[in-house]
Amino acid sequence: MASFLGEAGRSVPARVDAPITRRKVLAGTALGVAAASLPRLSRAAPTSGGVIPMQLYAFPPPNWHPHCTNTTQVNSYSGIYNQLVEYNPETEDPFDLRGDLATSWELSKDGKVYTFHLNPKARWHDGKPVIAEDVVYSMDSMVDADAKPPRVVTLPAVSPYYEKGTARAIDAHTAEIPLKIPFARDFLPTIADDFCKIIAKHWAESGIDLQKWENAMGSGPFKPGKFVKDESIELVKNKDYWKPGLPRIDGMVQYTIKDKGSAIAAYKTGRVLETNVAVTNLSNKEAVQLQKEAGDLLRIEYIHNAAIFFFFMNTSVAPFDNPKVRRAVSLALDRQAVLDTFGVPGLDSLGPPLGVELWFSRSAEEVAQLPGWRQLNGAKHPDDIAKAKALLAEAGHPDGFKVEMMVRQAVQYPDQAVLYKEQLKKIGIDITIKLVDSATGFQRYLRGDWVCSPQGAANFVIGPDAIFGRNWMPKGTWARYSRSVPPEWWQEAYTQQAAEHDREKRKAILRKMEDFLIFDDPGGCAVTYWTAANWIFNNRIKGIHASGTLWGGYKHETDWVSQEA
Amino acid sequence: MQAYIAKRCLLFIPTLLMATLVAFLLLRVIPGDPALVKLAGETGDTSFTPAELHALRANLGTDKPLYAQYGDWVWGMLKLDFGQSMFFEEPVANDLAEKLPITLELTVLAMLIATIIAVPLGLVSAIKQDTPADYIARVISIAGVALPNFWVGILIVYFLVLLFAWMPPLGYATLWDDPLTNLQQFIPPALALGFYQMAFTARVTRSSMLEVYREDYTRTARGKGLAERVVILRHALKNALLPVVTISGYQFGRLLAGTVVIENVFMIPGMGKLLLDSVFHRDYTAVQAIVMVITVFVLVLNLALDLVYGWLNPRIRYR
Repeated sequence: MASFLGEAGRSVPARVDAPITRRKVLAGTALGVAAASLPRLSRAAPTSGGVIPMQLYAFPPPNWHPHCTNTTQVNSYSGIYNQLVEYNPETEDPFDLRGDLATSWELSKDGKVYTFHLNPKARWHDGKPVIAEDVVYSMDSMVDADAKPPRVVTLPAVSPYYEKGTARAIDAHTAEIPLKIPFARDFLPTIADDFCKIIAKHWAESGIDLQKWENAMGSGPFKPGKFVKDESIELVKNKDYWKPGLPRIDGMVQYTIKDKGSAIAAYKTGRVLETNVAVTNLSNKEAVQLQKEAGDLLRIEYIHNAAIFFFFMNTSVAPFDNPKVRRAVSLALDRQAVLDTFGVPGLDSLGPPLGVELWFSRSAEEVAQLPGWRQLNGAKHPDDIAKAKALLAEAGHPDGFKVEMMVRQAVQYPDQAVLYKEQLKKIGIDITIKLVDSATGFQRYLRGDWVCSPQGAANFVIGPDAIFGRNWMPKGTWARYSRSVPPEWWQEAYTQQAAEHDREKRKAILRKMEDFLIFDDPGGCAVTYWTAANWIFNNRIKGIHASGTLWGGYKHETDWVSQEA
Repeated sequence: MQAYIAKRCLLFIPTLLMATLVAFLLLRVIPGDPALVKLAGETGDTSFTPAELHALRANLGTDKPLYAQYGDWVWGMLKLDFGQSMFFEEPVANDLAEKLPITLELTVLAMLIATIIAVPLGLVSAIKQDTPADYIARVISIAGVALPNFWVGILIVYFLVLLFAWMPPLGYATLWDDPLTNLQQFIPPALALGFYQMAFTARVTRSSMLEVYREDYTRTARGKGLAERVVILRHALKNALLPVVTISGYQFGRLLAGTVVIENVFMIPGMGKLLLDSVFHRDYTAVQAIVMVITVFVLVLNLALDLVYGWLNPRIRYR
């Protein structure tokens, strides 16, 4: 089976490459019509074997410690390790969580302690059993603020819920994890993310350098294979995997394909059969176009609300240190025009800070009435522009002001910048666009040496904790860059909503917090629209669906390859 | 001759010194920070503290004054130590040893394909001057000079997919282990890379051939009653190719530079791709080492070509 899937250094044989002739297309169409007219007897049973060639959109930095890594690395090493719980890749419900290392778990009545029961069959790659001490060690490692290298993702994601040193092993297969915020609803979805890996205590404490690829030793379905710098990463099947029948494939090779055209060509010719994660080099518009062109060859799944785009402001420097100016900008932005230009209906949405049509969000109808979001006769509402001008005048800028916008040359930021520039001209804000490369942009973010910028943020979890936590709470990644500090009551409300287990009461708190960002001060992030992430699959790839977050569901242990699309 | 070679070799020293300065300073002039790229990755969607950034800078040595960084690097180079990659933290020499042959293979193949096409094209264009064959050849060669090679590369990928639903296999295969896959991987990029070279060489061949065609010795050969084929191949072409040899040194350097883009379009893991990736990673040590290797390569190649040119053309005297 492996031969037809394509392997590193081998050509994919003619079955995939064969030129498409008119005769084949006609024959295929006839067969398709005939097949569709037959009653569906059953779904094909999963098969085993084969090596899946995947696209890797960017080659990750060379640090493979699971708790010190960023997005691109997580995606590549995920199959080597397990989490306690995971997003279920086999269902179409993107938020369905199931046990990974844990067979079951319960929350104490007071909502303060989670107890996880580990699968006694779970084994590390070296054959030793996975025990509760490993869980305790891993939780502490994730939130270790002094660890070197820094826990760049796990620390901001997990530390709101877990205090280092508080977890304990009850017995070999039972671990207790106390919560900082009782009943924290987003705790489980957070630790289901692929960066919350459980690592072997005995291995980590042996002095081995976990940053090296060859030293990666987990309990997962795959082991590290051949690593070709800046080219490809191979994962090979863990033949002694403790989950029966998994993984189904013999391995995967993730090829770095950064060029958009080459990536499209690779999908169309079957050189790659899936993206290793739900991040590609293609915008949603391009993904939709690819789906149209490729027809039945490909399926593209989307993670809705995966990321937020915003007009980003440094709240520590003039003129955006004035909340009235920030509010004026938020009012003047023509979000519908931004969405029409960059978004795809049904995939991208006109969401305020908490999005739209999620359990904690406003409805689309409500959003359409909000100042800053509303329209009149298909155009930007004139009252919003008038109000924005008045606010600028109150802030001492009756004629507007000139400002430099730092624009990272990544994603769609340069194009978004042009649109923002045009829109804010209407209230007298004269923007000069300054293009910088991505690294420089982050250097300036870190130094505070910037004024405004187009920016986006991926959500750890599609939940209010992560959304507010990353973008507005002072320790959040983007709030730190924007130097945004919301009022005390807002920060207290954040903790209060996270602890609230009555959904309606929680929604009420969240509404009040969101109202503040909409009607008073957007802080550093004036949200423009919410976007989906796209994940490209060849239709022969089965057993995997996109999860509800950009950071989950990447172990590929249930993937299998059908002979037919 | 030996004195000439020694003199040229001595001239390498100031050239190389200048190259080290330019490579070093240009990298420091462009914005960016290797430590930051390493911490933030390509997406930058992470958080870290200024203290962590400073610690990594100290580890990489980028917190030292510029003169100290430059001194360390040049001193290392004198000992043939290219240093550690700032991004991958591995010896750069290992990368160079691995990637240089790949880029050389691509460059030589591009040159070979270009020459095989260019010389007959130039020849036909010259001997069939102002005929449809000449016009077609000139259109091809003008297009080749005008079109940027990355665009030609993208067009090649596009047409391969559109017409044959095919693209080169992924994952580098060496020429020795798997020659068939290797050639499948290298011929399309070599075509893209060599297109300009082909066009330029064809134009030089044509104009040189037209010039030689009117020389006395060609007329004499023809007057002796030699067959036109013999006149062209043995008398005219042999002399017309001298300028082609001269430009090939310059062209080789140009092809090496072209690999930076082409290797990325076709995912060939050679030195060009390494250079571009290293620039994005702000991997100063890797970029500096690659620039130096290319500089040395071009210098030595130019010297060798000058010597070959003298051998081909006995009128040339070295001083």
